[in-house]
Amino acid sequence: MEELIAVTKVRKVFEDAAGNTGGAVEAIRRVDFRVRAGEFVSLLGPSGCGKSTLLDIIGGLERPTSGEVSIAGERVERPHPKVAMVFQLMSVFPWRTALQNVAFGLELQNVDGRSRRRKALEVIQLVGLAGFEEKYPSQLSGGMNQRLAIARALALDPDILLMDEPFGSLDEQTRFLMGLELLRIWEETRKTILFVTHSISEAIQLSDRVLVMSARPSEIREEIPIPIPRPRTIESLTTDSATRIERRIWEILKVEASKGLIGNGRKS
Amino acid sequence: MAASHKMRIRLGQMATLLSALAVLEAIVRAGWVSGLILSPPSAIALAVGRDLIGVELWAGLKTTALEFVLGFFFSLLLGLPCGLLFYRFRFIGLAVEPLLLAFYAAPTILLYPVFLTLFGLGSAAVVSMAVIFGSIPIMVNVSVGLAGVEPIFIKLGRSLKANRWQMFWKILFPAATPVIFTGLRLGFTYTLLGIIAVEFITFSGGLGKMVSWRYFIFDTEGLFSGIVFVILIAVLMNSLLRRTEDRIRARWA
Repeated sequence: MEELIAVTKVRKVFEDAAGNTGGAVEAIRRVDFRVRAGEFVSLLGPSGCGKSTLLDIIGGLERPTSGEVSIAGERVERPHPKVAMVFQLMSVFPWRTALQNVAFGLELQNVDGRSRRRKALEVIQLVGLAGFEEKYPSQLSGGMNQRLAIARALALDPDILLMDEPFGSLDEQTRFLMGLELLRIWEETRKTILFVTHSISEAIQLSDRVLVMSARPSEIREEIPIPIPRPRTIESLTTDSATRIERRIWEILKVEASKGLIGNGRKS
Repeated sequence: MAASHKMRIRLGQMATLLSALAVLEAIVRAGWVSGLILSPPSAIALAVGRDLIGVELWAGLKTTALEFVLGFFFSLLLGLPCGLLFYRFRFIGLAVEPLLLAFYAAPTILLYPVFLTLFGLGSAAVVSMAVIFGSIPIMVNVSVGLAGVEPIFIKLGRSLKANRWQMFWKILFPAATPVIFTGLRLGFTYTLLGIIAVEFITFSGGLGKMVSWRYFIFDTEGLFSGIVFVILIAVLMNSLLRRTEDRIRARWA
């Protein structure tokens, strides 16, 4: 399979507000990895480990201090047209209806009203929100709003979805169900997904591979393949081999998370 | 249940108002307070009737309305760009906004002699003073509203490659609308208050002058009738704007 995302020797240093290097913070020391087309890969790490920064770099919102990211062989310098991002909760606009929110990206691209509506209705159907087109976000639950954010990204027909803890503010059960929904959408659309999370169970539930990151300044500690067969169910996720994977990741993270606790735990 | 509850509150408000009026009427009729100081509500009602069919009120209203339209127009003309400027260049905003708010807390109305000497007695002085009252809440709220937009919305806009125009009109401006609208409502109300207050003090024209004139000639009923109209206009405008504001906020919540 072809390599769709290539992250090569990426390093990121944030200078302090005054711009002098004395107060600079090294967020990412050196990160290298590849993602093949159609893969579901998670970036898992302790809070403040720079995983969101890494995702922003891949999304073209931040420039790396050194190293480079390329998508389909093209070096990323600004948001790539084939990439859509999904952020944590409440990035949907409260002043737009569900339909208008989903169509937002297309509207920015000056797609005409009728095709916009057709595409938006199609993805709303896909994320299971049919019937809620004219509702406002305040009339929908947290999980439904997050479906909207996913639909808004899908409406752009991206090849790659970059998801930054999209279910981070949902309760555990909703989160699990949203995970199953996301897998269904992923299987239907065959997108490539890079998913940032700090939840071990979520990473295992969803991914083909989990990249476990160290505390800041971050590196990839280990790459853990998740050979649990798909479609994943409660049964397949609670077998001995699944539990063994979870324990293994815990052992790596235990060390890293406590480093994060001792160091200054700035939120990423 | 909720409707009848609301109804009861309304009835209570009406009853309070009516009994206050009845008490006033009784006090004045009993001769405890001179008719020169307080008029009985019944006499005020008659004066209101006279004003409605007279000329003075409508002429005054016309002047005040004209001055108000000009005042609010210039408040917007000054307030909106300044607000944008304070937002765009945050260091200017951070430096100037506290000064403006401090200035706002001071009794600025005392500056009216300066405006009289600058513009002469007349509408120009009235309007320019009112613009001071009206433009400050507009500029502050525009700037604060835009600066308070959720960073995630801006990040989303960048990831969707919104251009400057789209970023402003499709993200920043709608996101800041509730705060900006509050600024407009305050600007509206303060412009109106400023106009009437300056008319009142400087005796230049409009409803303010009418009330002030009646005060000087001991036309107590007429004085209160004028006050009734001014209050009615202010309350009506404010409640109208408030209702719009509530609708906006409900949508944004």
